[in-house]
Amino acid sequence: MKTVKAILLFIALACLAFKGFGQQFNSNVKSKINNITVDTITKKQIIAFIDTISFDPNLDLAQQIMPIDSILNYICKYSPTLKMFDATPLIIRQALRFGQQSVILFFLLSGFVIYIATSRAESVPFRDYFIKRFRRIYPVMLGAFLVSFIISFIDGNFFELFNGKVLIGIY
Amino acid sequence: MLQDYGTDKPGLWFTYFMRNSPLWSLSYEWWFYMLFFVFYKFLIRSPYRLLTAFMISFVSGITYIIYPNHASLVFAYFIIWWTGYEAADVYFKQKTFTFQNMKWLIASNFAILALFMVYQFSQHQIESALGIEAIIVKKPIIHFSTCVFFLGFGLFWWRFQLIGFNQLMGVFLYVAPISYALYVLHFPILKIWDLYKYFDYKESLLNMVIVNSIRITVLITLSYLMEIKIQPIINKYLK
Repeated sequence: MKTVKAILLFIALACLAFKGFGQQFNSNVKSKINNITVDTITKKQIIAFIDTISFDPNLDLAQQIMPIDSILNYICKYSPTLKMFDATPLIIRQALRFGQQSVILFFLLSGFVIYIATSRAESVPFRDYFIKRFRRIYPVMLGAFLVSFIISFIDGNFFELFNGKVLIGIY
Repeated sequence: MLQDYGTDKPGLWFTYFMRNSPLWSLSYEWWFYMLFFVFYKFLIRSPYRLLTAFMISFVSGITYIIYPNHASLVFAYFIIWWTGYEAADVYFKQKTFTFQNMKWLIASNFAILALFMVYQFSQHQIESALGIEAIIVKKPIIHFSTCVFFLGFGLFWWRFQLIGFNQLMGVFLYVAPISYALYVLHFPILKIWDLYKYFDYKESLLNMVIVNSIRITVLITLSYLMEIKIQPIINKYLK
């Protein structure tokens, strides 16, 4: 039970840390946070939250998590201090939107690296070159196919997603 | 290896596998590798290799506009990849980057960006003049703008002795050995895998942390297995 308690405490603190993470990134939050200290209500809520981490051995894990989750959500939703950190997931989401741009940077770097890989060799036979590129790209990609299969099975939508057209890649 | 991501890039032949959209870039990478070998064999010591790569890409850009198709798009993008090769050549021969030694690389990419932009902004006139159906080339414009931006920014950063480079990029050293697997697996695991269905309500912060902790753990574990454990075995037998 101590382990479960420790894990839950870690998760709970991770939640708070996650919310607090925005402080470093969002200048608006930074400017606001200077004017506000942790208010009394928040302090009470945090104490109440910590108090809930006392477990009833008759309850299962889900039931034990529930009050912590409720209070944590309440704190994050209504606390004037913590509410401002709601911008954090948005910032992370925005950062992740630049995937296409990252691919272009990867193309540039890939060209750079192939120069290093080939410039020192006196000659590069096509067979060696092809096999090196093939075994670098294909096995992991086929592994990703397998993972997509498994996830669609777990999610229960394999037969919706997979058919002959998908295998060939026809739109 | 012909899959691509269809939004704002018409004329594509094949889609990516089971909603794993980041796989689009693999087909480009693969054909860049194949095309590189042709360059390596026939043009590697030619003074016209950049011009050749540019002409291939520029002409392919035009053929893509006239007849949208995946092959033209791959050839059109080849200049981006080849720019990386030429930049390495510049660096290892001249030991520095300047606007002077990078100008043709920037200009080559800018010219293709300009091609797509001019087309995009005057497509109705082109449509009526040439009698071809207008297409949207938003993605190629974004991609070539990005390339020009990275080249410009890289040059700017180089002039400032790459201040902060090690601190910023040093982080990636830790994930570099599994970066490819992270890339191809992140979308199905982090985005598609529906773990929230096991919880009563989705809006919970705690659920979000639990779900994403599981997803990230699975992602890192599988990436580690694929790249660090399985890949060396494949390398050993596939020579």
